[in-house]
Amino acid sequence: MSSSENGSFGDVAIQLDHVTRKFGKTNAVDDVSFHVRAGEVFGYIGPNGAGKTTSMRILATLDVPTSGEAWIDGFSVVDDPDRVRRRLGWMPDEFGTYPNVNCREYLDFFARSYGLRGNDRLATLRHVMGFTQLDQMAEKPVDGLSKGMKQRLCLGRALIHDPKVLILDEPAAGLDPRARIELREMIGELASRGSRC
Amino acid sequence: MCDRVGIIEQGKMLAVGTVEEILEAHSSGDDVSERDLLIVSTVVVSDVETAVAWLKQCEGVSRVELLGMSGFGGASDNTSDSPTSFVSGAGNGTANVANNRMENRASGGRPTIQFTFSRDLERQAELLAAMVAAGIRVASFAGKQKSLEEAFLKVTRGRVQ
Repeated sequence: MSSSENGSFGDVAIQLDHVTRKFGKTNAVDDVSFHVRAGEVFGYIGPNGAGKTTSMRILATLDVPTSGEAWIDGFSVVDDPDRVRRRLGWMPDEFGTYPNVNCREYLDFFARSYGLRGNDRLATLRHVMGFTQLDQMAEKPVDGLSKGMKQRLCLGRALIHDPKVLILDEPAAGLDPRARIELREMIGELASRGSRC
Repeated sequence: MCDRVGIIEQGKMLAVGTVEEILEAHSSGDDVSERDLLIVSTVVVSDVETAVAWLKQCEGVSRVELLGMSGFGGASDNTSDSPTSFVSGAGNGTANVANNRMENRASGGRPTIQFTFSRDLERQAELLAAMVAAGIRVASFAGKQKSLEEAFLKVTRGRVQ
């Protein structure tokens, strides 16, 4: 699709317009254009090494396209990365955990990083831990969590600043069937609220 | 769970849309009349060969196949009247092998009879009633759900860079 089809960003959450990312002679992302509307769950699929993570990293402002342009909620990922980061929750496929940190402390660290203070911060933590059902695990050390619980924690981290758009890289990889179903339900619920992924 | 999907390979976006739209767009190599046809899967608990023979002589039924007879994803029937065998066709082979296995599991190990038939629900109801009237004991009869896996295998070619 072309950007002209969506002149207004009214309900377009994610838009890529001829995005190319070269690494040397390799086109990791080659002239990719598509858009995702608000409230829509968009599945981005392809074999390993197809360029999914590279394009998602560009949307998450962690990389810049060699050419082309992309927008999150109407803001350019190249020209306006700060505004994009405020609107975007990003769940990478692998994320670092730290020793001697429990779930609450971990999420609290990210809440503070996003500038949440006082009662706002406490209310957000309660809300996110409730939604991801991490409240039972609040005092558990992060590096001892199961894969499924780590994914919940990472989703919680992505939700902490109440983003309008969510991008999840391989969220269900390595999860057992129950954890997979629970994750799917959480994503469905977020989408119905108008968050997007 | 996805409203729409995008399929990317070697950095290029190959298809964007709903699973149905993608499958539709990639069946353009097939017959045009193909679009009005549905793949029906049925499991019978009476003699399966009799059921296959009966279905083959039915009007509107084509490409009758028996899946899950052997341990290797099923023997296909190539003697059907249809000019192109369902299993042939560039790039579709892998998709069908994978489907056959899923099919076999879904039917609890019993062979599944698969055929193409009209999308018209009235006609499907008539066919089902006729099968039962002919003494075939039908355990299940359903139009095949188009799956994301099917779309993925149809669109991608397994290339990486």
